[in-house]
Amino acid sequence: MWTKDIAKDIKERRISGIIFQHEAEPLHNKPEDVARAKEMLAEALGEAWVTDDPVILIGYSRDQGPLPSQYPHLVVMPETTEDVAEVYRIANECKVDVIPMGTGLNTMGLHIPMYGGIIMDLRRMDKVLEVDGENCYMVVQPGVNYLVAQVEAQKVKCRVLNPSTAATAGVISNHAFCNINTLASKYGFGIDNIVDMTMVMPDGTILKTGPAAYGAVKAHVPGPGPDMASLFRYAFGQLGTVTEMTLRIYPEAEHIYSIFPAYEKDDLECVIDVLYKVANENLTLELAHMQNSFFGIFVGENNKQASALAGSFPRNNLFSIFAGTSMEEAMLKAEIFQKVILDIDPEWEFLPAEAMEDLVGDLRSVNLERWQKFFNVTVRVMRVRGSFLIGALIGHLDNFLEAERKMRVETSDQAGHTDDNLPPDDASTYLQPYHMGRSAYMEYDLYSNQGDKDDNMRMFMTYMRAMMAGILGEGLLLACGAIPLNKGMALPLPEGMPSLDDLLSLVMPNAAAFMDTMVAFKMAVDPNNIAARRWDYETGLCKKLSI
Amino acid sequence: MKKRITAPREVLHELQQDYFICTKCKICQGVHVQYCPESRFWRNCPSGTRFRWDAYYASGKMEIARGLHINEIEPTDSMQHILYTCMLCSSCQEQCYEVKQLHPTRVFELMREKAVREGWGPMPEHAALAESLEANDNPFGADKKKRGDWAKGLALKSLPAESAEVLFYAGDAYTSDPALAHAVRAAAQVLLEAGLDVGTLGAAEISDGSLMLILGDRDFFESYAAENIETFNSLGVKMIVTPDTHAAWVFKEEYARELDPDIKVLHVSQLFSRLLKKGQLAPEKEVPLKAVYHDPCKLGRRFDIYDPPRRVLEAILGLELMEFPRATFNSLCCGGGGGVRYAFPDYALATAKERLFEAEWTGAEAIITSCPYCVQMFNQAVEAAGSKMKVYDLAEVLLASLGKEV
Repeated sequence: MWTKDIAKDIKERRISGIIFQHEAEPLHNKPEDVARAKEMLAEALGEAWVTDDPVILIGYSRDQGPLPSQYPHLVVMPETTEDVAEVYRIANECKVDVIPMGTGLNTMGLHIPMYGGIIMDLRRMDKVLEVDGENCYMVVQPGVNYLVAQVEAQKVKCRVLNPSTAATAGVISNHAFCNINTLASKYGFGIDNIVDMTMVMPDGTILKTGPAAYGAVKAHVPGPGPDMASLFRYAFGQLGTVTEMTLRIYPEAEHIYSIFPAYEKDDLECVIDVLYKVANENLTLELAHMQNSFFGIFVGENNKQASALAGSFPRNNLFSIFAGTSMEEAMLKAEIFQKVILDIDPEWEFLPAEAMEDLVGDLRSVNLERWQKFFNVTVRVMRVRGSFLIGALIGHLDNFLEAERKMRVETSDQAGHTDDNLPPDDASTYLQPYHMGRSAYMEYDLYSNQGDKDDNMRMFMTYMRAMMAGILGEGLLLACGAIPLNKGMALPLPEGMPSLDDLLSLVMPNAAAFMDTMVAFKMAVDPNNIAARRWDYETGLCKKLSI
Repeated sequence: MKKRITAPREVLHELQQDYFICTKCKICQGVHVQYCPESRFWRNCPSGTRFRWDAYYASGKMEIARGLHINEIEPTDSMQHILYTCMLCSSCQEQCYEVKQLHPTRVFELMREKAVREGWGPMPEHAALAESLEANDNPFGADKKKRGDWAKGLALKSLPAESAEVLFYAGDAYTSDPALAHAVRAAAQVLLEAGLDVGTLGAAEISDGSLMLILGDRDFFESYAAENIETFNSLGVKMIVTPDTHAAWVFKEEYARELDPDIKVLHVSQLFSRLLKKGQLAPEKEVPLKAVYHDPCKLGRRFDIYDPPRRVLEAILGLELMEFPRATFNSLCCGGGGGVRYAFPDYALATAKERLFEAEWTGAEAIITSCPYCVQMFNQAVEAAGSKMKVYDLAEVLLASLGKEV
């Protein structure tokens, strides 16, 4: 039948199906080694929890980032810390890479197997092991997401620091990465709230940090004694896998009251003054700054609605929640807050809570009564427009102005301009004061229409330019974006062109020196380079940014 | 004369933006968290929860659709397993559409149609259903001559010999399972109590074809749709009412394209609610019962029919209506969705038992629902678990509150 031949022809047009050999002459992940590892893993974990079925593997081949699909060779599901140790032991013996995956909500390729290997899906380890409301801590496994953690914490009248991401995000991976949350000006980021960890090092050694290391009683604070937990911050599986984490939780406020200050002027300096003053006075329980397009994209159901909402919202908006032992106390704090703001500029306005309810009341994903507890959605992941975000930790709130200005130069009139309320070259910032305003986290979001490949590409190029401008800004430390640099750019770099590592040494000499130490540490604890391998020890290309 | 019945077909690649855009945010795994009070019940994807690998969740299946689209992967037995262990309950779409406007359940339905078209679906265990349909006009092996027996003794008019304003379409499950006869008789009797002019097709009623559509065999479904639509349009009825949720689904979503626009299609729960509001039904007898209402997927998430059955239950004296932790749009499938139970009965039963556990967790004495497949699954689960939970069809409880018996 000639119609059957058409289908056959179409299939044969492909050069290959799944790419299982990622490197020309692989030292790791050789077919015979993978086959041996599969047998050993099946014996260690049970056959049901090890697979090389392409139909299963494809589920682990992509995330929301721009990388093309990359298949692992194997996926395994360990259930215990000892299982995880066994996976590493076998991987070392067979020289097969291991990439851990927590709950699977992922940005920018962190669990995409760039060179293949084993994806270690940790969702069988999904238990909250302990919750202590009196001493305000919780012990979780890596498959626990913020929904589960939050509900368990609420049972003892506490709450976790849940970041502005989907509730399905993993607690351990997010806390170990950073965990930017709206309570940060009061309690810090998640990373400051780790009491101890149990982790499996790349050689299969089980390491305990903090009180867990010497059997001390767990409490809200780490210690006494030295704590190695910080060494593993931002490691993304390159230094092993955390299998248990004790994290701080905080008592739930008895009463809360929200107001929504808004500022129509495009004057970030005034916004910074307000944020610094409010954070410094420790008036709010939760505090964040969001620009109009952030709201438009958050609430709008389609591009048209998002544009309309972005146009109807004031340019700058604060998200502020006040807590008290009585509603009067919470409202009094809000009143003082309003005075502080109006003293700085009387043109600030305050949206009534009802207006916000009208806006989002019909959305099942938003529940204003529990907004402060659950951000079920995240703007950049969920809506019709995706975003390329640049996250940066700011040394001082004031530094934000300079960084934002430089980045905006690289965006405005560069990505194409339309008369829409959400033109391609308009970026939206999210600013999260930290430690009572001494520093901050900035997010610079570029929104692209997810259904439009050209728009995505245009945004990607703009994002790259703006990110480099951000790196070069004083007082900035890049918090994410390294993964698209690694894989998204054509590598190897042309001869004579400085590598990204060289560039980092030029612009941030102190950070580069520190990263040299971290690279040495990585090579010491993972001599076979099997833990989330993103660079080869021999070439060293991009090693610092990978770390 | 032969005639095309349903609208032009949608094919998988038309939804390519959906599966290429899916960002693996994983919210499809769970419930709307703000409305779920207990972490034990956050997961809501039956197949993902059971088989664990990402491919069994919506995000993984979307990736499989992408892989099929670009010929990156080819159909295998495991792909068939993944596709046919999905209960098509739409919980993933409930989450995803709200925030991302994607249609994962629709993608999976069209993947099944592709599977059937290409010869790798449905499961071999489903063959008996199609064979029975060919032989009996009923997928469950019931004798077609006895299809109308459930209505014996009821004052229902016999269509098309007589004329009536309302066609009561009983559906495949109610007419083939003797254990459900009580419920379907109750539904019809409630309508008679309300004074409606109701008739049935009796033994002339044939399958609505919905099970074949669920399995991906659109051609076979359309042959039934064509015949039914011709029959329904010729009856002169003003309304078709059915207690079968799957029939209601295809009538509303598929048949409606060719059905006489003057004919209203309602599920019995909608009609009961309207009759109560108009005062045509007056529940006066107490039904002392602590009960949870289970939302059938094809009624709730498919058509947002959440309130009508609750209005009915709230009108019943003595009945304490409770809610599952996973209620309304967060509802967990009973295990009877997607034709899964015919190929994977153990897994379907395990899902029903999970829902039963959830009902017990609330402290309820009974589960009430308004779908024959849900009733069957819960009855199986109660028996398997040795539970004391009672299972009722909505119509049975309503009829009892009217002081009537079947």
